[in-house]
Amino acid sequence: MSGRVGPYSLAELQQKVVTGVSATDPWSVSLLALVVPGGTLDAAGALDVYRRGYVVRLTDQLGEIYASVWRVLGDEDFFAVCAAYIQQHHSTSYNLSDYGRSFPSFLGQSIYAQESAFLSELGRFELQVHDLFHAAPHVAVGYSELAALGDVANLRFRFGDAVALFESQWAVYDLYRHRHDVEPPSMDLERSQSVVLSKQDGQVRAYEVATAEFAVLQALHSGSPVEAALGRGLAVDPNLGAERVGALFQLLSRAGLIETIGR
Amino acid sequence: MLETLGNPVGVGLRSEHYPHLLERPRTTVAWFEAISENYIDTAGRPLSILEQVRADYPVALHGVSLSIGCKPALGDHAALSQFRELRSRYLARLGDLIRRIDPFLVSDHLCWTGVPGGNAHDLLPTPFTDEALEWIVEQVDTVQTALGRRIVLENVSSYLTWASSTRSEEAFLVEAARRSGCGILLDVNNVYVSARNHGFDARSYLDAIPASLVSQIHLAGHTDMETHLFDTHSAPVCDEVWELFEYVIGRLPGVPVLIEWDADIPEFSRLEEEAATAAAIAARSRCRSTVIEVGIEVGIEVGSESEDGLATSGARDLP
Repeated sequence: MSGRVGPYSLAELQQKVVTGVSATDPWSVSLLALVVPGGTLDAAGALDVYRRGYVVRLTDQLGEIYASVWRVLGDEDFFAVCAAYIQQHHSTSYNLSDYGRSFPSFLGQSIYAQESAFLSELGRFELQVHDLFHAAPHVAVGYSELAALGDVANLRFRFGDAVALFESQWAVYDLYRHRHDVEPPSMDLERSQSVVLSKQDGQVRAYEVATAEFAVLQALHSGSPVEAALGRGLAVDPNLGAERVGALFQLLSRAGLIETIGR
Repeated sequence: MLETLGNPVGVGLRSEHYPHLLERPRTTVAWFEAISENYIDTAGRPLSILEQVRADYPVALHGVSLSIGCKPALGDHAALSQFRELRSRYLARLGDLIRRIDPFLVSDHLCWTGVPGGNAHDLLPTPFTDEALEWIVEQVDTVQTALGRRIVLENVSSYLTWASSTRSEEAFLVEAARRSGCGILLDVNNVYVSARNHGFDARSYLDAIPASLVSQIHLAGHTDMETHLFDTHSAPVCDEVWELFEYVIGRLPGVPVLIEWDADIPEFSRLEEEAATAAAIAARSRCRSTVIEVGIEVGIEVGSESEDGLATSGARDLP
């Protein structure tokens, strides 16, 4: 059986090509000697078709997840930071959708973070939205069921998988929700923002809440009973009164956060 | 389902058309093809939409990541173990999707897309060697056993071939299909693109593919990069590909045909126009094939070449 492709086994050839596709170095002479290029391309040009395709696909994927980062940076800087990221982070999964999970932290260490310190947080927010979009939906407990519970002090709420709590020292949700605006409004980005994200009817929805309410939700999310969770909220803001707690319980049902209730 | 002497024509299911399709319009397409990877790792809205489409139409699943030609270094236990794990995980997820959607056909490509630890996210051309053939036949058997069904492999567009190849692409494809029992997804645009890029005769390629092995046809557009043709799926099917389609479709009764359009995606109605063109050509070619067969039986001369380049039948002169 003819088992070799020139000096390489089939496995070696494939490794060589994939390594080359994800690199920027000149192609090795030994690999070029094996290539019969198509059209009027030379051997390196033919291999470059696949190299360019790799970069284009990964850039497209980053652009799909991080559309707001793209909007903030503009085309030139976004493509530059994508190119740098792609060069350092090779794709290992068959699923393109898995690519770019470390892009937010990469942004935080990039030169662009010096001018836009919120970039990494904005990326983290967009990755969270991406994950929720693909998360399994759940049937949420409705308001009438919640209202009928009576004494809820010792109850624990289990949130669905398609729920996330996001907080940042920057108002990145504002940036995100205006990402498609031709002329976004002026925003005070240097304020913290706490957001509840939930997938409902196949769409990811966001609800901004105050820090005390967010503390309650975090406690509930981590499994604390209702009374203890409210205590966490009161520790953040002693003015968390009955009216606000009532509104928070309405949000629990309106945002479809709770999948099951237990003790 | 799709059991007909005619050629049912479908289109690729793309997210750009979700809003239109969710209104459940009356369409002229017979079926949809969904990209498997868009649905196997998500519990999101796309999967829900695919299920809704499936309720109204037959669906084929078309993968881009099986990487059937990928061969890890067999002596590298870590790479081999990683390869088996990745393949196993992929097939498990694909199997789940198959059980959920009940597709009439499951396909992927005769190529490789990466190696353990690295993915090129492209349809890389395999060398047409004995080693590659043996490996692919073995892998198809593994995949078909794991999925419990026949799979179908598509010829890819390529921009290079390997000097070590000992067969033509079509000979390799046919032998792989015959020995493994898989079907062939004959992408006529890919045949044309590769024929132009590598200087082989597209009709000879099509002639070499036995009709009994062909399970599906793909049609798409490409882009002329001046140095080579590039398979972009971003344009209408070109005249030369329509001619090749007419050349081959007459001997493929009942084989489903698909219009692919993946970039610069137009309105759904434009896809329906392409599908209607494919259906008309298939019907015309089928009629001609029938007449030619009858003509051969009675011993008349058939099959001249018209000025517009489309094969015509002398049978039209029959009283």
